[in-house]
Amino acid sequence: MTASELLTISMDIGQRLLESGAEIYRVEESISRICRAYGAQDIQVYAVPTAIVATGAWENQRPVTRVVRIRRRGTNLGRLDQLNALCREMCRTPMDAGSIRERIHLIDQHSSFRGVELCLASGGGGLFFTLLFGGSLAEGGCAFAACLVLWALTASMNRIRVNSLFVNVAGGFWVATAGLLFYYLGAVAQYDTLIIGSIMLLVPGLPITNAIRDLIAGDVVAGIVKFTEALLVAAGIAVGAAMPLSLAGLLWSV
Amino acid sequence: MGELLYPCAMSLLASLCFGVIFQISGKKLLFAGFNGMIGWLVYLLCATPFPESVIPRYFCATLAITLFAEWCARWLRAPVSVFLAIGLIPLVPGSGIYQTMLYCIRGQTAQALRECVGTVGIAGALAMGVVVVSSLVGLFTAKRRR
Repeated sequence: MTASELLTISMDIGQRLLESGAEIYRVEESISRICRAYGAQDIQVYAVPTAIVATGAWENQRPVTRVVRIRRRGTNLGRLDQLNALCREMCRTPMDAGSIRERIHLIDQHSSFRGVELCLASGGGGLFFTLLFGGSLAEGGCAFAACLVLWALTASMNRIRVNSLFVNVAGGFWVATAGLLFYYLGAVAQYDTLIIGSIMLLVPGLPITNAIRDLIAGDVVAGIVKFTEALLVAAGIAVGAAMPLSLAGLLWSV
Repeated sequence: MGELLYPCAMSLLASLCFGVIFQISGKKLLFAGFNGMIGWLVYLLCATPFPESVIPRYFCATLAITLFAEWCARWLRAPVSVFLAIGLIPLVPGSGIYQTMLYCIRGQTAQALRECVGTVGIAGALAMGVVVVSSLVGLFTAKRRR
């Protein structure tokens, strides 16, 4: 493996880690460990949630530098786990470039759960959270239906690459609209629990967790970026949900 | 006992659903879901020693979740986030955000502010819980490795 090839492969892995929702220190450490395991003398990596920069020095060669811009980040803990396992394996037993690329390609293709299962899981999330927060079975059923549509909505919006703030505004808007709709149709006696249960699907749990973990690890810039992002998402949900609720308040004064 | 069983089962199922959404599979999914249940159980059990405020209850629940997540991560050889993120999800103050927003649009600023401070307090308790356990575990493992 040549130096630039090695740096490219390790940064491909780093990029995928970051895109799946890994902490910054994991990304930086993975890249530098891989490079060191394959003969780099010195490797400096700097990662923030939107880019990775790495420079490696090999014996008797000029240093090689690469920059990767991260455009889109989501949460895929299964992929994160697989990439982490690949990284450990690469460092333990040397592999050639072709087989590593093949493994990365396999991880890209692999997903444990597909469309229908994800859709049902979203519905289930809404249902069980509504029940957990003291909702009746009818409210749970309505949350289930609302979350099935919510999943279809967010999945299709993510596919056409709408920005994430707007996805959350639209999600909050739909959840509150659905809650009010079920309320006026007489399916549920009150809409609060059902809306709170469904909103849990949008609430940025992982970004907040990750922001905190980055801050502890000393990656202050990354922590602040992620924290701001999480606040924006929360504000987006609130703004989205406020619109139908205030409209209903104007029309029927509930 | 019965009144503990029902919320625990619900938080377990809800966490399992979230595990599926985040593409965790197999044994790891099971333990991640179990972590969500542990959090809610500790939250409920802490109602007896801390009856006047919810914030210490959230803090204790986070301590338990983070400990269990760190242990699972070492035992099952997976990143801590896999277990930590799923475990924390039932505790994330979604209802706080909603109530704050509701009071805001009704023009009840005083209640909105109180709700907002409560939400930030809960988020802070979650953060502190993670910080305390992660730092202590880091200290302990670093010492042992040396």
